[in-house]
Amino acid sequence: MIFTLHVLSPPELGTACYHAFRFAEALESKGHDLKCVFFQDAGVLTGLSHCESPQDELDVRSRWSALATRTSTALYLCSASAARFGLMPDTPALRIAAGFEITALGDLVAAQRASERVVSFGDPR
Amino acid sequence: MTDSKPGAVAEGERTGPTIWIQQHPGAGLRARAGIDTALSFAVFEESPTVIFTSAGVCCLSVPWAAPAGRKSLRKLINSLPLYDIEQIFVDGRSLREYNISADELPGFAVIRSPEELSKLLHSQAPILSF
Repeated sequence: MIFTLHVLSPPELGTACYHAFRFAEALESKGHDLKCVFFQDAGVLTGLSHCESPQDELDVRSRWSALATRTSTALYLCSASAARFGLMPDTPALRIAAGFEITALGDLVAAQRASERVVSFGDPR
Repeated sequence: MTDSKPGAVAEGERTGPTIWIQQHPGAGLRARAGIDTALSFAVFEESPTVIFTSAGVCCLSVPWAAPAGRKSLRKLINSLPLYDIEQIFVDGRSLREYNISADELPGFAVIRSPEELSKLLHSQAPILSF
């Protein structure tokens, strides 16, 4: 089955990003096709390259990057949200992590069209 | 129902994605992201269904829809019919909880009970939750 994931929270704000990653790993292990992960709202902060997780915690950012390399899953950062949070490709202090790219909402539309399931992950506020 | 206009669809009829907005307009940018997403799907003729529940109904109240320093979400919501989203569904119980009267809602808003919205959500796929 073809999936798209929609992630609205970064790793530091709640558990949704972590659960999304574990869900993605489960999809991979079961042989499903994860077409793309679309990060929106504060979820785009998952694409920051300069954040460090404590050594005794799962580094979700690097795991997303590794998953993208391993499975060819696209990691899209919503351009409108990225601009809101100051995440720009040419801003050194806010560099984008490997495997992530800034795209428009049209890519979410395209991913939804090409997927059989879309699953949203976001922490309540 | 055979109305071919995007957004003007019968409940239960399979259409484009459902955009489900539950966040208060003042609680970050998520509600705005939801409305932007609905507009994007509409632009691509994907006929989104838009549902407001919980604190998300405050996006429809003029006084609450414009957090300090930000554009009013209500103005953006008022523009939805221009993108052929001719109905939005609103949870009546949430309206009561937040003391919002039906008179405050845009004319194209349709009030539904939680049970009716639950059925609607179960008939729709995919659902993008904000």
